[in-house]
Amino acid sequence: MSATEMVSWVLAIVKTVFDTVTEAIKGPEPPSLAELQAKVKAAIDARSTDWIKEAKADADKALVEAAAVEFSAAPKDEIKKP
Amino acid sequence: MRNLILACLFLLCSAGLLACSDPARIARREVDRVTRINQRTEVNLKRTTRAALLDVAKAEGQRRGAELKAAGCLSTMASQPSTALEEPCKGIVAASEKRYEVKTAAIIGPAKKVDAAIGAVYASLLVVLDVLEDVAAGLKPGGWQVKLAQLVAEAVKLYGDAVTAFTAWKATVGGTP
Repeated sequence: MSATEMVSWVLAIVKTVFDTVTEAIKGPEPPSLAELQAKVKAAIDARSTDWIKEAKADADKALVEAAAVEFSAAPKDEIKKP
Repeated sequence: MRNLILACLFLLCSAGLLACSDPARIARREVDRVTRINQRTEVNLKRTTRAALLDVAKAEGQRRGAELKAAGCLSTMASQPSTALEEPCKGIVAASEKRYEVKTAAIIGPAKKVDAAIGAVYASLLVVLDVLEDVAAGLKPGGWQVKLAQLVAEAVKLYGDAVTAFTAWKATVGGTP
């Protein structure tokens, strides 16, 4: 093996180690700019305060249902009209 | 041989520095990370709010039903507004409505503030992405790295504020029902 071949082998090994270490330090590739923009914009577009109104409406229904269940647990359902 | 080892060490250090000092890459990673955790917090906020409201509603419903029953009212009155009723059922439902509104307002008000804080995080992430877009297009003058790092830090801080607000609110809501 000539000296030139040895040097090229050593350089190849160094390059491999360099690339491996670089990738290890960098970690996984983060998403592209376009992907991130789409992700954040989608998250913003999906935002709405309607979810609070919907949750409140569901709670209002639950209140009435709970009251009815509590009432029906009585021996006499409807005792008298006021 | 010693020189070769030194050269290898130098290359490895260079690789490390290069990898760690790419501000655009770091910013993209941070935007991705903060977006994901912000989305998780948003989902958590919605779930917690809904559960807290349902707890309050069920507790108040049971109380209303029991009081109406004890007063000899009709079962259907539990679902009617107090304005449509006559005493004593009217007073019972009116008091129930008032208690319910106070308790739900104590949940919804702070939840809206946390939701707004989450929205502010998304807005700050968009600003970071705008800067990154300019950088990619070669429109940013020198020194953009510092500005970018500041914007990323601001987005991370805003997320921290949102989480703090959410945690404080969640602790309060835990004792509401």
